[in-house]
Amino acid sequence: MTKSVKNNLICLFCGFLVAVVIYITAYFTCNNEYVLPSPLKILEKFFQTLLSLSFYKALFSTLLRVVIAFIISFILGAIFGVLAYRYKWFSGVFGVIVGLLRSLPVLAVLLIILLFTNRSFAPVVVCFLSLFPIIYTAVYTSLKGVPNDLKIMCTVYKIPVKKQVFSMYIPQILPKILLDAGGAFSFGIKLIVSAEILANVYGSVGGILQEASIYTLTSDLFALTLIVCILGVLVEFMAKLLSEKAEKRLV
Amino acid sequence: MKIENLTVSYGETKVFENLNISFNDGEITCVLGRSGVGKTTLLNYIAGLGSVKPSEEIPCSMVFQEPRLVPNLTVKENLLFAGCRELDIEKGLEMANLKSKQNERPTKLSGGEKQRVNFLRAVLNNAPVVLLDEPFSSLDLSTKIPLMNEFVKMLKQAGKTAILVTHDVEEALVVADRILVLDGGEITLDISLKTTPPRAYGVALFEREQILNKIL
Repeated sequence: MTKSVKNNLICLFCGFLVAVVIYITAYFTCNNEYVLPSPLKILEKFFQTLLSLSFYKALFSTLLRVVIAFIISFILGAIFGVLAYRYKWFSGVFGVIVGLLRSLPVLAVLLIILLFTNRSFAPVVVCFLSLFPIIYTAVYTSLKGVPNDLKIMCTVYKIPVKKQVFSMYIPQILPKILLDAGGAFSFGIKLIVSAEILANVYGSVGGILQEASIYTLTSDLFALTLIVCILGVLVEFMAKLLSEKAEKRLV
Repeated sequence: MKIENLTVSYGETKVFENLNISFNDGEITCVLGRSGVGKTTLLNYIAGLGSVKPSEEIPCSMVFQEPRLVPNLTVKENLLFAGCRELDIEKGLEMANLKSKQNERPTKLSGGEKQRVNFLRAVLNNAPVVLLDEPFSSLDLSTKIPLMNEFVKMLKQAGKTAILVTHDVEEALVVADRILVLDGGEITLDISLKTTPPRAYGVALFEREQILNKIL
C-alpha cells in the first residue's frame, strides 16, 4: 500500500469517526428512538439490508440509472467541452447554456419532467441535467490548462492531431477529469436517490427510502442513508486514487 | 533560404517593413539585437507561427527558450513524439550524453539536460532548418559553454541551416558562422566570421569589444 493510499484511508477513517461521534452525541442529546434511533439498531438494520436480495435489486436499478445518466453526461460533456475549447464563439454561447443548467432547481424540474415521461426515467433526465455541466466544465477547463507553449511546439513540429490527443492532451487532463468524474458519479448517486424518492419509483433505493419514511421506520431510513453515503464516498475515494495515479505520470 | 519584403506590424507599430534576408545553407546565422527589435517575430514568421505567414511553408524545427517537453512522456518518447526516428534517437542520445536518461520524465532532468533534449528534438527532426530562440538564456555559464560547443558540433554534423536569435554578443561569437544585427526593423550589420565555430568562450570575450564598436 503506497503512502498516499494510506494517508487517504486514514483521512477517510478519521472523517467517518467524527461523523459517528457527532451522531452519538446527537442521539444522547435528543434521547428519542423515533427521531434518532440508537447507533446499534442502525448497524443491525444496516447489515440486515446488506443481506437482503430485494435491496440488491433496488440498488441495481438505482445504479443503472446513475450509470446511464453518467455515460450520457460524460459523452456529451466531453464532446461539447472539446468543441468549446476548439471554438471560442462556441464556448461563449455554450457557457450561457451551461450556466443556466447549473442554476436549474433540478428537483422542481423533476416534477415538470414527470408530467411528460415515466417515473423510472425522470430521475435519469434530472441527473443528466446536473452532471452534464460538471463534466463539460471539467473537460473544458482542463483542456484550457494544457500549456500554450506545448501547443506551439506541436504546431512547429507538425505533430498529427491524433498523436497530440492520445500522447499529450489525454494524459494531461486525465487527473482532473477522473477526480471530477468521480465526484460527479457520487453526486449522481445522491441525486438519483433523491429523485427516486420524489418520483416514488418502485423497486429502487429511493423507493425503499420513501416506504421507510411512510411507515416511520427511522432505523431503516438511517441504515439506507448510510449505505448510500458509503457508496458515494467509496466512488469518490476510488476516483481520487486513480486521479493521483494519473497525476504521478506528470511529476 | 530567403525572406523577401517582409512587413510585420503590431497595431500602429511597424516591426519590419520590406525586410530582406538570405540565409546560407549549412551555416549558423546569429541574429543579434536588443529586446523588442523583432528577433522572435522573425523566427515566428519563419516557423509559420506569426500573424504574417510565409508564402511557402518552410520546413523547420525549433529550439525554444524553455524546453517545452511533454511532462508525461520520457526523454525518448518526447523525441519520438516530435517525429524523430528511433535509429537517430539512439545515436543522438549517445552524443548528447543522455543515454542513461532516456527513460526519465522531464521533471527528473536538470535544466541543462532538458535543454539538451530540446536541442536534440530539433536536430534529429527531418527539417533542414533549425530555429533557435535564445536557447542558452536561462542557463548558467558553466552549463552554457559546453552546451554551446555540443550544439554547434551536432548542427554542423547534421548539416542543418541554423538561425539563432540572441541579445548576447559572446554567445553569437562562440556559435555563429555569420552575425546579423537587427535594429529599427532592418539589418544594420552583416558579418561573416573567418574561423569556423565553435570558438573558445575566452576568444569571444576578447572579440566582443570589436563587434560592440561596430554596433554602437
